Amino acid sequence: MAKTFPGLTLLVGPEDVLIDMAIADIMAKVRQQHPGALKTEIAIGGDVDSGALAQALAPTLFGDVGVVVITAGEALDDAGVQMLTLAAAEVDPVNMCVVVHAGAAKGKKALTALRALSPPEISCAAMRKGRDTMSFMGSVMRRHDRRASTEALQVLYDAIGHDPRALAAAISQLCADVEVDPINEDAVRQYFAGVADVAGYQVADAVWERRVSDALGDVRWLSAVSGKASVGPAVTAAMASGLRVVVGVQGMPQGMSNDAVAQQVGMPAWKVRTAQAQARKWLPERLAAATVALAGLDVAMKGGLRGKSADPDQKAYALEKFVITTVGGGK
Amino acid sequence: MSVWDQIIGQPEAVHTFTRAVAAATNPRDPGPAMTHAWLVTGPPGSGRSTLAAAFAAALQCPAGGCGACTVCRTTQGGGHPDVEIIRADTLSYGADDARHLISRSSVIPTSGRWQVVIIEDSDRFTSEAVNVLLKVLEEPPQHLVWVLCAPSQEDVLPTIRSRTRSVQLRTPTTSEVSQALQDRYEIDPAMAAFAARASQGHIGRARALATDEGARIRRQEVLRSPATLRDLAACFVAAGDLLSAATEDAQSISTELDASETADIRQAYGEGAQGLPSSKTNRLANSALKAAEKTQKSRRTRLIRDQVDRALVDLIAYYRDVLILQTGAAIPLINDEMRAQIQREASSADLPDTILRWEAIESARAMVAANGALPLVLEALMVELKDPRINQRT
Repeated sequence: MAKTFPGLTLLVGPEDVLIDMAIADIMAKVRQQHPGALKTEIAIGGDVDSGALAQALAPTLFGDVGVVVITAGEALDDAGVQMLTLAAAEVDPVNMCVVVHAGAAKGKKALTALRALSPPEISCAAMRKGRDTMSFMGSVMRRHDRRASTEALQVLYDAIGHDPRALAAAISQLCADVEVDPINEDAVRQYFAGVADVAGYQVADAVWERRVSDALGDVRWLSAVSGKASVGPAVTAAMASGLRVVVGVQGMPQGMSNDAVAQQVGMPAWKVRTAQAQARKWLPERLAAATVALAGLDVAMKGGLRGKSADPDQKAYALEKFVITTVGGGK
Repeated sequence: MSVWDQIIGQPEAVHTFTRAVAAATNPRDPGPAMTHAWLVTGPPGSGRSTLAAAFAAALQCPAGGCGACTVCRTTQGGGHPDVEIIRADTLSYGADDARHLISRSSVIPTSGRWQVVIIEDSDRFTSEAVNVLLKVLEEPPQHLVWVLCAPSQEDVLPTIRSRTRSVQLRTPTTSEVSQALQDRYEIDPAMAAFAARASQGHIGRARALATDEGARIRRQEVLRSPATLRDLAACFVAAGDLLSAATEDAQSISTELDASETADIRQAYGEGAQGLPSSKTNRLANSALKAAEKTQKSRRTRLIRDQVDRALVDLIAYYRDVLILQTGAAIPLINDEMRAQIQREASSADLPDTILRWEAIESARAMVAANGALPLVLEALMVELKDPRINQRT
């Protein structure tokens, strides 16, 4: 029986979930022709050397077809590369070798040597936040033969955060549970709610819009999700730059047009509108007091006046106190 | 002529050091007036490092500090092989730097009689670095003299204080500074008097004010800012202006320092020497220049912080003047040229408010020292200067 697959395939990149998906694809393809194909996985490094590799690559007694997945391909030595070169050169390979390589500087020599054989290569590059991940989510949907609206994917992304594996798992759950097609925003909201990642500027927006409970929720969420250490000067810096915008807009003469204000403070008009809405919620005097309190908070975040690094709990407390006493209360 | 001529208004300290130099003629058996570790303390600009350098020169000079020979001149210029001057140009000095310093300082003097190590900003040493230095401070090799400088005794650890002999400098009087400006930099008496008064005894600052018109204008702007605080937006503008004035002051100091350092490094690696192609000297000097750039960058950061602090001291002097007019005390104003504005401020505000404003500036200085975000600290300060009771009412 003809074995119609290449002897060697490269998976280059560190993104685990993409690697798993690629391996699953390869197995599916091989098993279409050879339903009994076995998967052997060996991780190079430690005790596993080229000897173990040779063993894995050896044909079985009964001539079974197999897929040998070699993880941690960065640790391949010359002998290993040599063996894989031979395997790749076989016209009618018994085994298909899949080498997983992180693609970084480590083990570059092995990667270059293997690439020289021009095997098929699948990129598993690290997924960037934002659009990259959104298109990944789309492709996971297609795997399940389902479609979803962009808004639905955005809601899901916001709820789960940047964790490709968790996103893939959530999509597979959604595809199993949701009947409507394409999957819409409401369906996603039924299963996933809330926000996973909170950025400093989101806290800042909530603070200057005087949404006290939102701000407090964001602060708590920030320290729960990203760790207490994330409550620090970055948050006060975001609030300070938000404050400057509000003060700048508030200081503009009454009746000045939006565009004129935008030009004066050097911001796009939509941002001016947001800032004006924020400015209306503050009497100048309260905003002035907030400025003083914020400067004190910033120093507290940096360990206080005596420069002793305050513990994370104290910092979180100082931040919450600022939100409640300064942002809450009357206009 | 002698090395002590350059010291402005410190007769007591000069007396202590001349006695030490006289007792130190025999390094193997110095008299009791000499010791191996000194702590020179005094307010910024009082001339701590100049005094330390003069002492080093006097120790090395065969004539006890003639001020004219090569030894005196190279020492005071920072070029004497047996005098190590440590400037903590970076934000702080760590234990590794201290270890490095110990190994360098323990060599036998090559040409002079003593090996002198001057540390200009001992307060910028981390406590780990100080602990590394303790042993060698206590029992240095026979030929080694330490001269530590710091703003006050409280700025160094007690373990350092107890191992050093203290020399305290005082703030030079206005007339002493003014006289020195006239004698040394040939500045006309009126300008010298103004610069001495405005700098409040800070000699380096007095020189900058007397010689650099930009520095004078920036100081003027900072002092005018209390009168501009009409509303919240104006406070933020004033804060931004103060920060950019301080940044410019810092730049005018650092560009001068950076340029001379860079030139020194290039020369050390053979620039301009015969028979060396410039491509080669460039390559040789490159890594040293890169390292220097890094320290220069952190020095710029520190200088901006220092200059903000200095601007805040100017503002304190302004409110001091307001207070003087409010209480009717018969003391000359520091900012006499702004009497009109100060008079307006004095009659429109009441005395407790002036004191609250003064306190607000002091607390802003503490926040600057605690690494607070400069724009934010200044914005908060301007808000409090506009309305010193803001915290009581809200």
